[in-house]
Amino acid sequence: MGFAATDPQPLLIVDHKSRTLSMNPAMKNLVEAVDESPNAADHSGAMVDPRRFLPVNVEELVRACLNQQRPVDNAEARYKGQIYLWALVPDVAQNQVLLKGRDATRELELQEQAVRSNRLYRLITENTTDLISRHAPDGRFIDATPASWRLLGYWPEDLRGRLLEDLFPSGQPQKHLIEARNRLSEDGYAIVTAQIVHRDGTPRWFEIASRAIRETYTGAVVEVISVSRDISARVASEKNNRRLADELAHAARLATLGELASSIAHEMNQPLASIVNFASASQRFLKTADTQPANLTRVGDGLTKVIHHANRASEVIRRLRAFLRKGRKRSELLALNQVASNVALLCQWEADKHRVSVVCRLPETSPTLTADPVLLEQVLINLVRNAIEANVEARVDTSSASAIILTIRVNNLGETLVEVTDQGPGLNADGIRQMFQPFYTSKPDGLGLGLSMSRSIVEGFGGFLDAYPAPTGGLTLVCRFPPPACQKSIISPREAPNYQ
Amino acid sequence: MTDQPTAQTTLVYVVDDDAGMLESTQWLLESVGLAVEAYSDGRKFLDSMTAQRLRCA
Repeated sequence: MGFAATDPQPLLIVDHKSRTLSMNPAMKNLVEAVDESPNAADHSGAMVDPRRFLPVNVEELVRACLNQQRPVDNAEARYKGQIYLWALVPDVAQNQVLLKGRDATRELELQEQAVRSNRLYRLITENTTDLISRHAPDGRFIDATPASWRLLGYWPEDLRGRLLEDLFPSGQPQKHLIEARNRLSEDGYAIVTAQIVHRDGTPRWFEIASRAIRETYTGAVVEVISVSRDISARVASEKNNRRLADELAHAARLATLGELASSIAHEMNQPLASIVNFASASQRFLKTADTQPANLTRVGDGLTKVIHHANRASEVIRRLRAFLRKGRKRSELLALNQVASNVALLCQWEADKHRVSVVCRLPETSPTLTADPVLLEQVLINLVRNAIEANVEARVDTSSASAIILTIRVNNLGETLVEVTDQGPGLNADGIRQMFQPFYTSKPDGLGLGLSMSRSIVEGFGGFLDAYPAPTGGLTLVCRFPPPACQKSIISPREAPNYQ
Repeated sequence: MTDQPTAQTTLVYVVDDDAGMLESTQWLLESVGLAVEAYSDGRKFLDSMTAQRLRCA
């Protein structure tokens, strides 16, 4: 049994007691390279003992190999950070064993690394609360993490190979899916918020971030990795916030109405008193009708006037009830001129009482706005009443009259502006900044919520509410609404320009 | 409101800034046989006063 002297792998022949008989140059190099100490020369001559490179149980292995007449493979030996795997081949006739070594240091290190990273990967995927899933380009599940059980009601095994359409037959995510697919192939990235029905039937909101894996050469999407997070709690909390905001706005309207109560009583009293007068007069004219037939005509006229004033009164009630309406916001296309006139009427008595006239400067054709009519009225009433108070505050002589101006116009940028200008004392820049802060108020009995709420309502319509010093010395409050074409696109926080 | 007796019928001056109130009061007074002159504000009423037509307010 000889060896190939050129074999790059270390070879060694030992006798039945594991004593080295010969070795090839590769084995010699190994022994010399690793053990360079001059003292290492051992009793068997100039040769370093190669046993230290062999498995620690080499004697047993050699014996077993010869006794059983079969080769032994992959016997591991470690020496100074090197790992060798040895194969033992028996030569029974000569009672020798050939040992062939293989440097497996790198291979085993990689394997250990793989085991470690695999363990880490499993730790992450099995414990993360978000669902991480791999999909084929048609949406078919390739794999999913165990979070799928909690989020969807399916174990990963149930999902593999299934189409999204099979799992969610409601068809609801379809349009999101198409949208996401387009964005994935264009941008390679898509975030979708969708409602998905859990296996138990409960609908849940998911935020799904997907990334496309592309084929290197063609760029075609070959796989999609998605991370899905259950955001039902967040959606519910946002919904709750909106409900609370609605309720707050309603409470504020009730408060406004309370403050307007004396004006309303007066406004209701006028038509009612007129009705009583007309009815009493008509009654008397009717009694005298047989002697003075002309009076019958007056009875007819009187009844017409009664109807007119009763309608006027019911109009007041209708406006108030509409203003107090509780419930969800609804959007409709509004003619702003009509809204402004309504507001001027609702504030008329308050204005008259303080000898302030409300002047409406409206364009001939009314600009329109998609908004909730009640909320918009609420904002404008708030602005007009503030303006009335400002005028009263600035007044030197209690009997002198003043005016506030309610203007609607469209500027050259196509923005619709609703402006309320007072003749009050005005405010400096600091004051203007503060006036929009919640609970900031200059009035002894004010809550300080009016302007901050008005601003958030206007922002809810896609507009802005700001204040500027007016040329008259007072303030102009401006509701600015972008051109109708721009209102439709919802500005996402990332794209929104910074207005600060 | 201002009253002024005359020779034949009693003339009543009504001043009110609310058109509905003004008209209905005028009607009510006329229905009991009074003559009425209506003014929508105090200034107009005062302007209508002349030396020939004395009134008391």
